[in-house]
Amino acid sequence: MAKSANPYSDLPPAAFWRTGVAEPGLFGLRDLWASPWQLPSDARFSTYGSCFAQHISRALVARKMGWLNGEPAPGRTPAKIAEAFNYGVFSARTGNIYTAAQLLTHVEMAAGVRDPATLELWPDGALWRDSIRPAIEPVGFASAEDLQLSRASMVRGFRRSITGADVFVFTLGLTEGWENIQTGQCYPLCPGTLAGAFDPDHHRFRNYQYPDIRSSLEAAFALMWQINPNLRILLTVSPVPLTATASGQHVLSATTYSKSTLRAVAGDLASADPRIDYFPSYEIIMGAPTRAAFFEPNLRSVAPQGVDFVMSHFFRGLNATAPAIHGTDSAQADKEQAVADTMAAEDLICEEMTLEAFNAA
Amino acid sequence: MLPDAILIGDSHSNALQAGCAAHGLRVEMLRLSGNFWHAGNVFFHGRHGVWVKGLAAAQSQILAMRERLGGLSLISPEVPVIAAMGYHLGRLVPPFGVNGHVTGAAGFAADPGSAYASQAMVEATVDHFRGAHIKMAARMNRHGNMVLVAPPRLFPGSNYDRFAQVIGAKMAAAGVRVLDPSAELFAPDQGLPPEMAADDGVHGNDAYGTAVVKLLLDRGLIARRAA
Repeated sequence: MAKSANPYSDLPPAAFWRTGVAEPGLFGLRDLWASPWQLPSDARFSTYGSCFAQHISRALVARKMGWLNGEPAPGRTPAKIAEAFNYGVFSARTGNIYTAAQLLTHVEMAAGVRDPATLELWPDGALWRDSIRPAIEPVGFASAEDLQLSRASMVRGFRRSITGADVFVFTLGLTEGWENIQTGQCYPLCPGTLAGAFDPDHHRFRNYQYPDIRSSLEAAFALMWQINPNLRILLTVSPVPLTATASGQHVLSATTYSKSTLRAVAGDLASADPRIDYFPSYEIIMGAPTRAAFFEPNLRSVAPQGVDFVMSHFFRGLNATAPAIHGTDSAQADKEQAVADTMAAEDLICEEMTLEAFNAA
Repeated sequence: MLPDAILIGDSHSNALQAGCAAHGLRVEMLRLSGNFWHAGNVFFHGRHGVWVKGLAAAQSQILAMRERLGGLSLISPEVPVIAAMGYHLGRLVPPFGVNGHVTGAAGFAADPGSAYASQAMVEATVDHFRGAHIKMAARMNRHGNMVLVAPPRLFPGSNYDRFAQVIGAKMAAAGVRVLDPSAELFAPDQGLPPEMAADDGVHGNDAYGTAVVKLLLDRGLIARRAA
């Protein structure tokens, strides 16, 4: 039978499995992703999400690209302290945002439609833990006020990371989560696992479904665009499998459900709105070409080589060729210079005082 | 004849020296830049009491002082030490705040551009930058007869205030005898009054030093040596 022209006739090699995947092999994969946006050369990226999102922050910093830090550590904080207090992991100290419901909570606080002070504080002996970021500090907060101020500071930083960003990168991690039955507050971790206390009369398991997730993301994005109408949103799905499931399913099936649902929501949102895009980090790690080679022996953690591989595709597909628009932050530079000048002046005074001590007159 | 006290510290020692003179006390003084202290160039020394790394003039000064003390260490039970060290807030606080961090509710509310640093963050910062100084003060305390005088409170409720409180508390927890003159001399929630401030606004003047040394004498923390 003769072949006639059809919609597949003129498709590029990447549209066919043999020429797009099987023959090129893992390291021959090309054109997995091309950003639809021409970004300024000094584009600013905010990054949030599950554990895997941390790699995107680090890669942007390593490439000296415009990673926006809305909540930097205090000046001259030693790296080990900054790390212990979760500064510099995401664009504000949100901790991991695993679910769309969590993201919506953070955005609502940043937009001023949810009062951060109404969210739970968890006692931890004489200290306090933040129910929305239970591991954000290495020890608990000294008082409820200390915690509330830190939370409010994070909300400010989170808002700055929306207002100042060109691209908001969000890595979807889980469909499973826990929430308060009475208030509806969602938690990043089940109460009682790391902090807090589990109470079956107050806490319930949620395995958020496609409509829940899509609705939460759409609500979050609508608020974000109210804050920054020019913001572009880049979604990814973490390839890291679930550590555990409370769904009653085998964890392998639960992982597939979770990731598949997130992937479907992300893809549909990206198709529906030109301000949203999807980057295939999930496929790059989980796809057949890798034969799971990028997983550590626990078959869960992604090896550094896998992260590098994902990020190489990210940077290859990025188009940051438009003229720069941001310039330098002269106000911050002035502040730093003022501190340096003050300290230099003090040095001079103090050194003179030291010399005066040798004055025998 | 041994002096009534030895002053060891940074630029805040000046006011204390003037105060000692005003009260007729004979003192020796080892005064080093806060920058030296901050950089960890000053440390406890088993023989000399205190030693300074990389500053030959100060080393000579210590050796000369020991000669005047008849060979005694700068840190010994025989001569009380008034210490003004371990805080060096001018080296610590301004850089901490360069990204807008405040440590109190009032400062956070007053400036929408500010960020809040938790108490644990302040304590971790103090442990990192002042842990060695606190250990040094504790050793000086164990080997001698020392009182540590906290610097004057400058801006109540500020980062200076919070860091001074945390350092003072950690010094006290390490067994160091700490005198906080501001708590005794100034009204609550008030900083260094203009009549007690040096021209630079961040050090106490002679009048301040005189008031502080009176506190030390009244408490029996130092005394005039019998002629």
